[in-house]
Amino acid sequence: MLQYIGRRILQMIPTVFLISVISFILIQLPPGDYLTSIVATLAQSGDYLDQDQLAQLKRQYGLGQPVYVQYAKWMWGILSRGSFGQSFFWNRPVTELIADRLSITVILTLTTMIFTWAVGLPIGIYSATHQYSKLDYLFTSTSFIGLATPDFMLALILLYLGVVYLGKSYAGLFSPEFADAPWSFARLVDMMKHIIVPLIIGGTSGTAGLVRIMRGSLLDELNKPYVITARAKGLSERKLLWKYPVRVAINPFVSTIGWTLASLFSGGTIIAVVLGLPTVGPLMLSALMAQDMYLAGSILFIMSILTVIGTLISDLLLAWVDPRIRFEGGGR
Amino acid sequence: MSAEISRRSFLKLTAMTAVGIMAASCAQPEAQPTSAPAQQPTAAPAKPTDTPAPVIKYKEAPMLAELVKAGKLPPVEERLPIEPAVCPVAKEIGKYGGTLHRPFTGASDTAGMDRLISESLIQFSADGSAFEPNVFSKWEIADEGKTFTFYLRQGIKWSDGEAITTEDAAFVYEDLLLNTEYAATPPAWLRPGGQVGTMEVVDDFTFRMKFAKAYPLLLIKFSQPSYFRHAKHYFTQFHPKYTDKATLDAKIKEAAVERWDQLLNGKAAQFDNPAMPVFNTWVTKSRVADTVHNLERNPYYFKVDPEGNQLPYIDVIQHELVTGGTEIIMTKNIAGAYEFNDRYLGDRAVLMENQEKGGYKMYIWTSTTGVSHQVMFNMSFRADPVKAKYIQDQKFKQAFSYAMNRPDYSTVMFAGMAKPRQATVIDQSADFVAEYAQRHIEYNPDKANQMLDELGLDKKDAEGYRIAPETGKALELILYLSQGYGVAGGMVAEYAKQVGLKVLPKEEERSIHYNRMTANELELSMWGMDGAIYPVWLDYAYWIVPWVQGSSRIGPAYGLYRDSAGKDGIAPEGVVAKALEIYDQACAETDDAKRIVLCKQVLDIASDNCWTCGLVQSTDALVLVKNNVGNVPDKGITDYVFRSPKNTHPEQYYFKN
Amino acid sequence: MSQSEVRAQTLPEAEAPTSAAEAEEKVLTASQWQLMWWKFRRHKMAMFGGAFVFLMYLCAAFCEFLAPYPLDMRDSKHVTAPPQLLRWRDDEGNFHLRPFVYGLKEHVDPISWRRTFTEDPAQIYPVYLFARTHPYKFWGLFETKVHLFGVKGEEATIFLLGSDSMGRDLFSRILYGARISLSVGLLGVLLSLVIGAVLGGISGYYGGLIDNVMQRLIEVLRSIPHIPLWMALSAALPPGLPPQQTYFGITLVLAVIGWTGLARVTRGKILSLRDEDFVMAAKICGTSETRIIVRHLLPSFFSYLIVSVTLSIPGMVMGETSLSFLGLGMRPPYTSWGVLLSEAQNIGNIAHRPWILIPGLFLIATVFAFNFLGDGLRDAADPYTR
Repeated sequence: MLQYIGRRILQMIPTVFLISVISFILIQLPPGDYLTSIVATLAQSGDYLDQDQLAQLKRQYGLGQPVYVQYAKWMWGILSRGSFGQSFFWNRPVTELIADRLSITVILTLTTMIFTWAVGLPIGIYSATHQYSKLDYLFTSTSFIGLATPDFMLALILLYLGVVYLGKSYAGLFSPEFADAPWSFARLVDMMKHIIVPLIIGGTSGTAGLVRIMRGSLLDELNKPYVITARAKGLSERKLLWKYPVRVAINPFVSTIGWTLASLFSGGTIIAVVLGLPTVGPLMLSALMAQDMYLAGSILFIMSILTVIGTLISDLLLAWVDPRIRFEGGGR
Repeated sequence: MSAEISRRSFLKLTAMTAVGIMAASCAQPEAQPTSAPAQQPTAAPAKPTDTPAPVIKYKEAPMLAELVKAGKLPPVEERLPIEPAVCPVAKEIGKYGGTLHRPFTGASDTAGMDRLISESLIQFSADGSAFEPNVFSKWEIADEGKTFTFYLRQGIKWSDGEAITTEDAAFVYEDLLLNTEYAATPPAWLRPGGQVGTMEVVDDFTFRMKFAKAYPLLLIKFSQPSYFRHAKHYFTQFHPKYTDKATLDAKIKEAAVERWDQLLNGKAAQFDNPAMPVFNTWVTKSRVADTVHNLERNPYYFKVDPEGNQLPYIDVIQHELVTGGTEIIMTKNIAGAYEFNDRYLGDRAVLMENQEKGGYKMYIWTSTTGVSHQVMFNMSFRADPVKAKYIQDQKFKQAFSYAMNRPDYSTVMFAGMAKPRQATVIDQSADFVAEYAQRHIEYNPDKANQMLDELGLDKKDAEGYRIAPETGKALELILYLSQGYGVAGGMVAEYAKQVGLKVLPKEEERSIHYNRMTANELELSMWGMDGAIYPVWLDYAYWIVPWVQGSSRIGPAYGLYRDSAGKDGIAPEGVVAKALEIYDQACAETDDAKRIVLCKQVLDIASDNCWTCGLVQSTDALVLVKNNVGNVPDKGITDYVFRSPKNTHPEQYYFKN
Repeated sequence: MSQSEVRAQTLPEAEAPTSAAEAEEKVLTASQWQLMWWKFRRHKMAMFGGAFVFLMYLCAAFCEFLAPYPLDMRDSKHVTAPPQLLRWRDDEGNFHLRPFVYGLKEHVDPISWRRTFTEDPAQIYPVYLFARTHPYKFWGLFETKVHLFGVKGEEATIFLLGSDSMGRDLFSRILYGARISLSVGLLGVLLSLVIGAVLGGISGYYGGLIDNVMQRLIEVLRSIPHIPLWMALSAALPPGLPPQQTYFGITLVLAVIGWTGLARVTRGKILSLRDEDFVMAAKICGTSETRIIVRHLLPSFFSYLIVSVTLSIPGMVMGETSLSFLGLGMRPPYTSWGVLLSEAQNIGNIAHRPWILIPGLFLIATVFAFNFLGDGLRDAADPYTR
């Protein structure tokens, strides 16, 4: 087992390297650079930079070096000092920026995830064990509607209804008076009020997916001969359900749980963007849009590492829940 | 003190002296934006607020009074300049206190803060017709517009209490602008016509600048808040001339940059560095990356109201980071979450209808928009000679203009509330000629068809598109659109199709669009036309003539040629070259009347050639003001160079309760 | 033990036959597809979903004929007009055998610029079936003017679902949009299904080096966020590209990102399945590896793939919407539901012109139906169902 883990970690190195190169190149692919994107953004709101300001900015950001030089510098910074470089856009070290937004990101993603799992799994199990019952139809229909509604459309409608009926816009995560206040009970309550909207939106589509997959794979399991055999042998329905089928049906989730790690870091990007939440997702999106390459590159890079680690965890877990999968790993 | 006013209009630049009286007002927020500079005589009637207040005891905000009491701050008399600038109030004397909330969309949006709080050396009057003293209490122009003498307001202080003197100016000039490590070449504004201007310190509060040729546009430059903003006592710690290498290297390393100039520039980001001394109304207490950005009153601010209350009235300006786009901001607008918002406003009807519910009022200010939407022909386009030929052709563009169904366009895009107009300066501009605004704007497809036939485009393909005789295929022009112009572009393409012109709209992400512009790939494009007012357009509007590359969609390669002194780009040709020649004469002309004549000639050529083909105009600029905010003028003029809303003096906005 | 045998044994009854013996006989001799159809019929919602999806595809196929207006027909006098009600009874209470709509009168508020419309009972526009109105070319084959329904006269309008911000009939646009959205979803999912199932299957079955390389590839692809990829592609697309090619380009982009999830799930399933007895048995019998994968392994988790696929279709449609937001989406004359929805995204529409959001309802309904269809198929395809 240890050897297996060791080998997997060794394998990760080229993957991570490849990802870092690809992401760096991808960020550079769109024509232009940070400067052109910032000028374009300014022009959009009727603000302009004159030639002098432009020339100064060009110098400031050291743009115009070849891509590989920029990459080498960036990598060297990470390896030698753990520094991911400076964000052009925010004029701050990348690590600080990410750290600032990490706690809220994790809170938000975890809350959504727990909500999703807490609601989705039981419903999925119920639906599978009570196939074609009225409640099954109800749950199925609701989850399908959740699945079918575009997040961004729902977000705007909910926000508007909030304004019309509650007289307040629930965009963002805090009311202005709490935004930079230290943590307190009142602030927590304020956040909880704001978190409802993203929870509903993120929850609807997430839960729906979960319910469908859980129902599907549990049904697969329940109809397998071993279940029939067990039932024939007089095993209680409860034990029958929980002992094997549920465990096996969770299998596909386990194979994706690793990716949750990365989504903890940058989860719910679209919802966060639409609702204006101060999480890592929108930070990355704006960095990509503004071609703020060190920030975008670093977030990408960290995310990829987390994905790779997550995949490893997934594979290990998969081996654990399903002993049939050999973790010696080699071919036949 | 005389009652003579320093309110010199732009036309008086040639006068030997343009004396600014220290106690002169900083603005007339109530002034209507209709008076044209040309008609503005020097002897403007004295406004009541212009009379210097009798010696009075200055008052200050309670939050500062407490600090004074605690001995943490010198008394208000010592903090103010010897003669503070008196800012008239728009409606009434205000009260101290309160936090004003506004949205902002990220680091690229600090321009919004800048336009609210940044002071400039001199300022435009509220109607944009004249310059007024600000940080400079007066200035003199001599030597036919080549020599400028500037007088700093005596006793004015940085926000940390240090005096602002000519030493600060000299530091910027010698140690930054002329330092080749800081700026490889001195900035363009310092070298009109190629030769670097000189600077000479006369005394602590007076300095003189000399240029090789007349430089009347310098005053427009100095009305922008990006000149002489480095406090010497603070910035020397980041400068190799004043700080030893080891200390500096340590600082460079700590800031994770490579060179000292990067370090210094990073520290000079005024909204991101609370330690940087400024002379703005409010000073930064946060960093740009913070989700809530606070600006707090500057205790050393140099302006008082007519009763001697030190401004600003409002304690804190708070910007909340909103990353979700304008629609999210809209939900907050109508919920009444912002006390003042002039930048991110959406659907007009929704805003108007929620006024009562949200507890705010929508003010309708006037923008300097010559036309709200226009089609721009890239005169320097060369990639396809056939397309280029027609884009260059005056008759082709005129025919195109006749094909545009402007009343229909207004109906769809502006609920019929915008009026058809050719691209030219706004009615209030000193060089406005009514005829130019009406040129080639009637919807006349027959005339357009006839003109196109005469150009040799008289054959059509199976789909009804006109065939270019040179290629035997349909003449196909691409209309490049920045995000948000998709619908507009679709309509233009439809009108063009009705006279057999194949115009393909292509909407692109805006930095991609911008890159196409700098790469000279644009054929046709669309944009708005702000800053269309004299004299601002001479130094700003890229849509009348391609005087620099900037955002010059009508000839980016021509602009580049001028920027690079002929090294890059394409030399302007034909009628554009002629317009640019007159434009250059106008920029160097110090006599206002003569200059206006030249400007009119440029506008004549531009509007007749339709390289900027105007569609319709609506100058309404919406501003959201919460009911409890006082002293926001009912009428204001919205423009980048005029620094709106700064030109309505947010320092005298206040909270009624 | 072959799968059809398993199925026959575990399927003691089917609904349709009347007598037990007959039923027994029928089940035993029924083909696999017949069995599936019988089971599918039992799932009412799936039947309904299937019918709806079929209907939508029909609409998509015949949209030119069904829509009263061509896609880009614009009416400046009816910008953002509300839906016109189909009526049989006029304001005076008279019954009309031929349904009609009232004309609309526009009013613009000079301050707020808000447009409002009121029905004008003086203007009655009767609705005709098979009306000859606006010419179009049906499937690019022949020119005709016949629409399923329409109103006659210069001034007459029929906006059953209102009009959009340019005065175009929303109902017509939704029908045209269905053609793009539904085909993109289907095509994209099919592409990613093929790529994902094949590569995931190979990866899971062979393991070892192939598996490793494949897993790295998937990880890399999954790690690259879609936005810059799309932006890069958008920048790379030549501006003069014909709309058809843009359409296929987008489908391909969606599939390139979509297949990885399927591949990974497939692999997981295969990993657990390949040591099952029946695989071992097949192997001992000397069955070729391709045959084992295609014949034995793939069908074993066919149901799971179907669930994933039905879940992928909304993903594809949403993906197309995001692309539209970025300006890489469909271009005229290709109007998808994504394009319509992104046009609808503003507070003004939600507050004053809610009908502009109707394309969203069509999207929701279609995806909803697709899901039930997939659900029914899943149950039907499952060899172990009771």
